[in-house]
Amino acid sequence: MAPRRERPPAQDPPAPVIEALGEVELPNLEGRAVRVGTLWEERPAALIFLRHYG
Amino acid sequence: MKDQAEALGNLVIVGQGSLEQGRDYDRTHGKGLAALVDSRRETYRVLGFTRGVASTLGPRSALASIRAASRGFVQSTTQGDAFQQGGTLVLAAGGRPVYFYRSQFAGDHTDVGTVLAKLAEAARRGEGPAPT
Repeated sequence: MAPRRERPPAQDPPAPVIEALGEVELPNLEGRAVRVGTLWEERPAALIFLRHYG
Repeated sequence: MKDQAEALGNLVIVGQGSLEQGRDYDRTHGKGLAALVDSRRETYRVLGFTRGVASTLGPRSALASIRAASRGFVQSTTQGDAFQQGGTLVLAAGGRPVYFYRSQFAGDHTDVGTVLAKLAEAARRGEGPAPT
Protein backbone atom coordinates (compact mmCIF):
# COMPACT_ATOMS: atom_id res chain seq x y z
CA MET A 1 0.00 0.00 0.00
CA ALA A 2 1.34 3.45 -0.87
CA PRO A 3 2.37 5.60 2.10
CA ARG A 4 -0.16 8.20 3.18
CA ARG A 5 0.73 11.67 2.03
CA GLU A 6 0.95 14.38 4.65
CA ARG A 7 -2.17 16.50 4.48
CA PRO A 8 -1.62 20.04 3.26
CA PRO A 9 -2.35 22.28 6.23
CA ALA A 10 -5.08 24.87 6.10
CA GLN A 11 -4.22 28.53 6.35
CA ASP A 12 -3.28 29.28 9.95
CA PRO A 13 -6.09 30.87 11.94
CA PRO A 14 -5.42 34.58 12.52
CA ALA A 15 -4.97 36.09 15.98
CA PRO A 16 -8.65 37.04 16.50
CA VAL A 17 -9.69 33.43 15.87
CA ILE A 18 -7.08 32.12 18.30
CA GLU A 19 -8.20 34.69 20.85
CA ALA A 20 -11.85 33.71 20.42
CA LEU A 21 -10.91 30.05 20.72
CA GLY A 22 -8.91 30.78 23.84
CA GLU A 23 -11.89 32.40 25.53
CA VAL A 24 -14.11 29.33 25.20
CA GLU A 25 -14.60 27.39 28.43
CA LEU A 26 -15.15 23.66 28.20
CA PRO A 27 -15.52 20.98 30.86
CA ASN A 28 -12.83 18.37 31.26
CA LEU A 29 -13.80 14.79 32.03
CA GLU A 30 -14.11 15.63 35.73
CA GLY A 31 -16.67 18.28 34.78
CA ARG A 32 -14.38 21.17 35.74
CA ALA A 33 -14.44 24.17 33.39
CA VAL A 34 -11.17 24.83 31.55
CA ARG A 35 -10.54 28.00 29.56
CA VAL A 36 -9.09 26.69 26.31
CA GLY A 37 -6.47 29.46 26.10
CA THR A 38 -4.79 28.23 29.27
CA LEU A 39 -3.59 25.20 27.28
CA TRP A 40 -1.02 27.26 25.35
CA GLU A 41 -0.30 30.03 27.88
CA GLU A 42 2.96 28.50 29.03
CA ARG A 43 3.53 25.41 26.89
CA PRO A 44 2.96 24.38 23.28
CA ALA A 45 -0.36 22.68 22.73
CA ALA A 46 -1.82 20.21 20.26
CA LEU A 47 -5.60 20.07 20.10
CA ILE A 48 -7.20 17.16 18.29
CA PHE A 49 -10.86 17.80 17.49
CA LEU A 50 -12.73 14.54 17.09
CA ARG A 51 -15.37 14.12 14.43
CA HIS A 52 -17.56 12.48 17.02
CA TYR A 53 -17.40 10.01 19.88
CA GLY A 54 -17.81 6.38 18.93
CA MET B 1 2.26 8.65 22.78
CA LYS B 2 1.08 10.27 26.01
CA ASP B 3 4.59 10.38 27.50
CA GLN B 4 6.09 11.69 24.26
CA ALA B 5 3.48 14.43 24.05
CA GLU B 6 3.74 15.43 27.71
CA ALA B 7 7.47 16.00 27.30
CA LEU B 8 6.72 18.49 24.52
CA GLY B 9 3.53 20.26 25.58
CA ASN B 10 -0.17 19.77 26.21
CA LEU B 11 -1.93 17.24 24.00
CA VAL B 12 -5.68 17.49 24.42
CA ILE B 13 -8.56 15.68 22.78
CA VAL B 14 -11.66 17.81 22.16
CA GLY B 15 -14.85 15.94 21.46
CA GLN B 16 -18.39 16.94 20.65
CA GLY B 17 -21.17 15.15 22.47
CA SER B 18 -22.18 14.89 26.10
CA LEU B 19 -19.85 14.72 29.09
CA GLU B 20 -20.91 11.13 29.68
CA GLN B 21 -20.13 10.24 26.06
CA GLY B 22 -16.73 11.89 26.51
CA ARG B 23 -16.06 9.77 29.60
CA ASP B 24 -17.15 6.65 27.75
CA TYR B 25 -14.82 7.49 24.85
CA ASP B 26 -11.99 8.07 27.30
CA ARG B 27 -12.50 4.61 28.80
CA THR B 28 -12.52 2.89 25.41
CA HIS B 29 -10.21 5.02 23.22
CA GLY B 30 -8.72 7.80 25.33
CA LYS B 31 -5.41 6.20 26.34
CA GLY B 32 -5.24 8.52 29.35
CA LEU B 33 -4.95 11.69 27.27
CA ALA B 34 -6.37 14.95 28.59
CA ALA B 35 -9.79 15.67 27.14
CA LEU B 36 -12.34 18.46 26.91
CA VAL B 37 -15.99 18.14 25.92
CA ASP B 38 -17.58 20.69 23.60
CA SER B 39 -21.27 19.79 23.65
CA ARG B 40 -22.29 22.96 21.80
CA ARG B 41 -19.48 22.63 19.18
CA GLU B 42 -18.41 26.19 19.95
CA THR B 43 -14.72 25.58 19.23
CA TYR B 44 -15.63 23.77 16.00
CA ARG B 45 -17.54 26.85 14.81
CA VAL B 46 -14.76 29.24 15.83
CA LEU B 47 -12.25 27.24 13.78
CA GLY B 48 -14.63 26.81 10.85
CA PHE B 49 -14.56 23.04 10.78
CA THR B 50 -16.56 21.44 8.00
CA ARG B 51 -20.07 20.24 8.72
CA GLY B 52 -22.33 18.58 6.18
CA VAL B 53 -23.83 15.44 4.74
CA ALA B 54 -21.56 15.28 1.67
CA SER B 55 -18.38 15.39 3.75
CA THR B 56 -19.68 12.55 5.92
CA LEU B 57 -21.28 10.18 3.43
CA GLY B 58 -19.27 10.83 0.26
CA PRO B 59 -17.04 8.31 -1.57
CA ARG B 60 -13.85 9.49 0.14
CA SER B 61 -15.44 8.78 3.52
CA ALA B 62 -16.46 5.31 2.38
CA LEU B 63 -12.93 4.61 1.17
CA ALA B 64 -11.46 5.82 4.46
CA SER B 65 -13.91 3.60 6.34
CA ILE B 66 -12.83 0.55 4.33
CA ARG B 67 -9.16 1.42 4.88
CA ALA B 68 -9.75 1.78 8.62
CA ALA B 69 -11.67 -1.50 8.79
CA SER B 70 -8.78 -3.27 7.05
CA ARG B 71 -6.58 -2.10 9.93
CA GLY B 72 -9.06 -3.36 12.50
CA PHE B 73 -10.82 -0.10 13.32
CA VAL B 74 -14.54 -0.49 13.15
CA GLN B 75 -16.70 2.47 14.09
CA SER B 76 -19.27 1.92 16.78
CA THR B 77 -22.50 3.89 17.18
CA THR B 78 -22.00 7.58 16.49
CA GLN B 79 -22.26 9.79 19.57
CA GLY B 80 -22.51 13.50 18.86
CA ASP B 81 -23.29 15.34 15.65
CA ALA B 82 -22.69 12.77 12.91
CA PHE B 83 -22.21 15.43 10.22
CA GLN B 84 -19.52 17.40 12.04
CA GLN B 85 -15.90 17.05 10.91
CA GLY B 86 -12.96 17.74 13.19
CA GLY B 87 -9.36 18.77 12.73
CA THR B 88 -6.04 19.47 14.38
CA LEU B 89 -4.48 22.65 15.72
CA VAL B 90 -0.95 22.90 17.12
CA LEU B 91 0.22 26.11 18.74
CA ALA B 92 3.46 27.38 20.21
CA ALA B 93 3.38 28.71 23.77
CA GLY B 94 1.70 32.10 23.56
CA GLY B 95 -0.71 31.09 20.80
CA ARG B 96 1.19 31.20 17.51
CA PRO B 97 -0.23 28.49 15.23
CA VAL B 98 2.31 25.97 13.97
CA TYR B 99 -0.07 23.57 12.23
CA PHE B 100 -3.75 23.63 11.37
CA TYR B 101 -5.80 21.07 9.50
CA ARG B 102 -9.52 20.87 8.85
CA SER B 103 -10.75 17.34 8.12
CA GLN B 104 -12.43 17.28 4.73
CA PHE B 105 -14.35 14.04 5.11
CA ALA B 106 -14.98 11.24 7.60
CA GLY B 107 -11.75 9.34 8.24
CA ASP B 108 -9.57 12.26 7.09
CA HIS B 109 -7.36 13.18 10.01
CA THR B 110 -3.78 14.07 10.83
CA ASP B 111 -1.79 11.00 11.83
CA VAL B 112 -0.27 10.76 15.30
CA GLY B 113 3.31 11.02 14.02
CA THR B 114 2.58 14.35 12.36
CA VAL B 115 0.88 15.70 15.49
CA LEU B 116 3.92 14.82 17.61
CA ALA B 117 6.33 16.25 15.00
CA LYS B 118 4.39 19.52 14.90
CA LEU B 119 4.28 19.65 18.69
CA ALA B 120 8.06 19.23 18.73
CA GLU B 121 8.33 22.01 16.14
CA ALA B 122 6.13 24.23 18.33
CA ALA B 123 8.43 23.53 21.30
CA ARG B 124 11.50 24.48 19.24
CA ARG B 125 9.94 27.71 17.96
CA GLY B 126 9.35 29.03 21.45
CA GLU B 127 6.83 31.57 22.61
CA GLY B 128 4.99 33.98 20.41
CA PRO B 129 1.50 35.35 19.85
CA ALA B 130 -0.66 34.51 16.86
CA PRO B 131 -0.02 36.77 13.83
CA THR B 132 -2.61 39.47 13.30
